[in-house]
Amino acid sequence: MRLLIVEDDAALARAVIKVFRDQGLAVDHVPCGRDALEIVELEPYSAMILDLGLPDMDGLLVLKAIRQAHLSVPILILTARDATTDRVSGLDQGADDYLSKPFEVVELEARVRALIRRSQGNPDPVLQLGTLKLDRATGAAYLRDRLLDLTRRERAVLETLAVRVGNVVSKARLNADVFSYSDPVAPNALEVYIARLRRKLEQSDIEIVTVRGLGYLLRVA
Amino acid sequence: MRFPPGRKPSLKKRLLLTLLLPLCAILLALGASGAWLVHRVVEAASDRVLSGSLQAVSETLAMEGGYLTFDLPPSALGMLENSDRDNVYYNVSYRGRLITGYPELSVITKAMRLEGIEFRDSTFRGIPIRVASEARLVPQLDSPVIVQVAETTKNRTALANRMLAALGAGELFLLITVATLVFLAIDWGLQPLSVLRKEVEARNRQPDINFAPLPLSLVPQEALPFVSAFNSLLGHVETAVETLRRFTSDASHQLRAPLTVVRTHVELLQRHSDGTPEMRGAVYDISQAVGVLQHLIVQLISLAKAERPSDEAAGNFDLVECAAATARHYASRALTEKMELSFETAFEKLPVSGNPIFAGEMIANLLDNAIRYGRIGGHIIVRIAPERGVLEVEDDGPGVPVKDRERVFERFFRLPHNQDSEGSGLGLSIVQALGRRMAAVIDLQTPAAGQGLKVVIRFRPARA
Repeated sequence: MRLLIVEDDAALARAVIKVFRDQGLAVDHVPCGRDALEIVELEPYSAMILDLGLPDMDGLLVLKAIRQAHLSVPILILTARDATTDRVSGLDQGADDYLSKPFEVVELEARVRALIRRSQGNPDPVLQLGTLKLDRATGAAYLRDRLLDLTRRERAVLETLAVRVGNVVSKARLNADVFSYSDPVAPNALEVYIARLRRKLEQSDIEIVTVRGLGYLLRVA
Repeated sequence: MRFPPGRKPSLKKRLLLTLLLPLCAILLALGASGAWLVHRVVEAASDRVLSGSLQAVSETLAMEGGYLTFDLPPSALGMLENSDRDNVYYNVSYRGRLITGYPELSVITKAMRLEGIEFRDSTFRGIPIRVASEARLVPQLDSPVIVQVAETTKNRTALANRMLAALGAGELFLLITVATLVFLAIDWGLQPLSVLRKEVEARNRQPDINFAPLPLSLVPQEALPFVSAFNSLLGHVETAVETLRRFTSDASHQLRAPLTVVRTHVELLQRHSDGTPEMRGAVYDISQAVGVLQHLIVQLISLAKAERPSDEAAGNFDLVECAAATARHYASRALTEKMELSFETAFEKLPVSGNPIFAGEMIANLLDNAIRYGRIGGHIIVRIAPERGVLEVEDDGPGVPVKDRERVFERFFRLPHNQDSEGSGLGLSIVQALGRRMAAVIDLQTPAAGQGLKVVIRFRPARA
């Protein structure tokens, strides 16, 4: 897998290159927009990190040129600007993701990984959260490599929460994901499933937290 | 001109001073010459009457049988009758000897001209009198006979006084009229300036300072140089404010790039922590400091952005969705800090006026403060209150003493007990700046439980 980094700041480029080489990726780096446009057509990149503030041309123009050439390489924009309008116009012009400087290395890694997975049309079906492993292909859930005994709905609730780990998921969202229109649902059905899941996840490092008024949040302790 | 401290130079006082002093001098001169004139006129008129009486007497002088005779015709003395009941005295003398009449009227001994009547002021038993005397030749006598008629001066004095009083009253009236007119004229002349004052005051109440020049059409010509200078000052201030804003924004953006480099490398260093414990400790300290620096820079940019005038604040948004989304975002961080965040709402949807990004940033800053300065195990509530358009962010942390509730909105102001925290001291300044952009009102209160801080934001109702 090959990653292209377009960044004029050599010191930052060195750090980012190191991050992704450590991940086992083949990383190319160019410091300006013109070089980027040349090289992006030559190599089959799985993803591209594009800085907007380039010395020779605006990163948004590079982005536009790439899309006009019908290249579908996933692009993550990196910029010191953070005006909301920039964010919108970047995504409008065909960027796949957006990260403003300064960023956390972990977040950059996660986003680039997601982009690469998407470019391969094959999102990783296995979700590993602490000791919890969720195989979305088969629907099986393992805790410390032991199969968890879950009903279909419990599994749906767990999966919805797990893919958004660390984020609050509203009850409305959970209800929509778990119950179909035809299902006769008791008003507190969701609470019942959450309670059961909590029991089954007891003594593990996985915790389902109620955020009053907002929904539920799954976190790895 | 120097004025004692604390006293403002008054235009009215100055104008009155410059106008009334010369006016008083003129009036005094006018009064003096008027008095002299009055005196002359009254004297001339009264003397004419007196001389009439004198002549009426002296006409009748004759020699009959060796005796000097004359009449005192009633008409002669009747002329002198007046409301003030002046007394009339007379005497007739010949060669310095009194022939008849009041001896108290001194007898004239010196030679008198034969034609014309002489007047003089004298006293009669201590009372001032006016004396008219005439020397007349009578047939058969070789020396002229001198006839004197005198009257007390009550009437003429009273007449003169009445005229003088009228003159004085006229002058006083003039003085008062001028003073009043000066006051009215200044008020009237300065009226356009009070229109300008209202215009400036109206600008003060606006969320963004309006640096547009004041309209010169309202300005009286005399104040034009001043207002023009003020307008050019406004221009300078605008440039300065804009420069400062741009500087803050540019500088913050420029700081970001190197900060990103430092941060990324520090994270890499932490990841490959193969140094001595001291080195790992140093890297940890650096990464903490970089975190603080980043927060500060992001807040500075945020503040610069919030204070930049724009029409982004015009529009409507759903406060419930905006607050819930922001609260969701902070729920995880609150849990990490062992705090509980909850959301309460009295509405399912609540459209208010403003920009959802601005409002989200306000709530985010309040939540950031609540988490940063709160206590372990504390509770944070984001609440859409039953009162329309009111959002509350409540915590049970240390709170803000009432005396500091104004000051916490100042930039870089931090409560003494928060000096060690890694906050930027800008959060509430940003909240206030963003609130002002949307004409939202921010109020700090103590929660009902008596501990912590409740920030109440009143948004404007949605525009149609």
